[in-house]
Amino acid sequence: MAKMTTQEIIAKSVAGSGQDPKQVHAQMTQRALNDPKFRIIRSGNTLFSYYNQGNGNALVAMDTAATPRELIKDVGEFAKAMKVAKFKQGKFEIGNPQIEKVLKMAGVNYKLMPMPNGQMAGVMEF
Amino acid sequence: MTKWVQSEVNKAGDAGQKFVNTAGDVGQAIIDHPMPIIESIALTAAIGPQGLLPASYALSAPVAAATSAAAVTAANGGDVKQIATAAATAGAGAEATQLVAPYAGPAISGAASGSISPVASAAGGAVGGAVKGALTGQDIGKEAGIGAAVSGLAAAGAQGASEAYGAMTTPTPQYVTNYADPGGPPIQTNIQGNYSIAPQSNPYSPDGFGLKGQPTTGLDASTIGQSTASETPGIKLSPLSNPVFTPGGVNYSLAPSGSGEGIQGQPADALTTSPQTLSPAAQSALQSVLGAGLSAIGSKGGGVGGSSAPTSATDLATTGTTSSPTSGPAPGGEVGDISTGGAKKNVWNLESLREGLGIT
Repeated sequence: MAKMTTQEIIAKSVAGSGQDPKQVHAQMTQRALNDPKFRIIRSGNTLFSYYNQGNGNALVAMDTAATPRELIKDVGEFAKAMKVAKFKQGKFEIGNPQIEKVLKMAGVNYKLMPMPNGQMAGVMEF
Repeated sequence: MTKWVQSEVNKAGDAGQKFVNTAGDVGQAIIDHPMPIIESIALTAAIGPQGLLPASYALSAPVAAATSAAAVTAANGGDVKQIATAAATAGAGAEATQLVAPYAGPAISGAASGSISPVASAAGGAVGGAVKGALTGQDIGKEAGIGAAVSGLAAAGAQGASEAYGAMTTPTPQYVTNYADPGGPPIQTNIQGNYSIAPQSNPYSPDGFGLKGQPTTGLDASTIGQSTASETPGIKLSPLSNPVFTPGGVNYSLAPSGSGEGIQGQPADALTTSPQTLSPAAQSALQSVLGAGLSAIGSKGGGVGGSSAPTSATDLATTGTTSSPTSGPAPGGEVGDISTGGAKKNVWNLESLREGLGIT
């Protein structure tokens, strides 16, 4: 798939969620510009936003416009990039169970852990 | 947005809304403040082909290392500028390797060893273009391509300079005659120099300056000391050549002329223009037109120096006309094309006629 702009990625990612893609884009941009702990890594047509908690830990979110096959590649690249950046773990909320399959196919080690709100969280090992 | 850490991102909500409000328009805010992004490929640039970068994307080792190091810094909290200059968009730097490939020619032969190839330099230089593109919200690939192309050209230029410098400084073995061993092999030397000691010829004295001498008489043994010598023994001096002075192409020879004048000059570029003449046909036509015009002026009673100016459009229409064989008198200032019967052309009017005749 051709390389999209960040606006296009976000627009496709939030489609159907009721969120305004421009607002989301502006919020992410604002946060990245003003918070050194908030960074965005792009891999293919996927944006990985993460919050640096220190000690090699990060909270990770994802916006993607990639196809499933591309997403597997993007997640793999992101994991390697985080490893290069000296991160050890990336915590994420599991909103879609399919993400586990993606992580497995991308070869990324992860584990599941329950969250206080009852949802499951995942922890990627870089 | 998948809910990996939706809450963290949402924390930016208030600030983001304020940011948007300040900007006045979300779209404009996006344009004015492009999202600072670190390309994952920038972080892994140093990994090389073994990592994320396929061989075709491979950057030169120094560029990849610099890119990766800067990206790591940015990923760990470096400021936005650092993200940009770092390779934030350095994925574009890697892409530029491909973008530049068509621009970069084959390696320049003769370039000094160690000089950066245009392709490698272009890939590194592309970061600048990509950064510019990212910060201005433009297409990164395009900017990277431009930056890379420029950088590649610069590198090519550097290699060219290096090549030229190498040619100047790299001694080429020379072989000179070994006078200490006549008949022996020549001596190889790396000393560069102009071995020619022949002076440049003087344009004003092709044969050189100075005097040449000849004995006034032959030096045959039979004539030495004999009083029968026809000339007084000695040396007759004469100039090597007669200096020639030709400023502006004029040959001012200093040789005495036969008529006793010391200097004779003949301009080499004498004017050879000849008077311009009209063809008989043109002369006839001109006389016809001028004659008609003059008669018209005369008929107005003023003549030369008189009040001959037309006073109305009718005057203009009837003044200076020439007759047409097919349609009768033509309007003023027009001459019919007799040969073809084509459209009439304006060739003169009263004003131009008067001006040409010097009538005020």
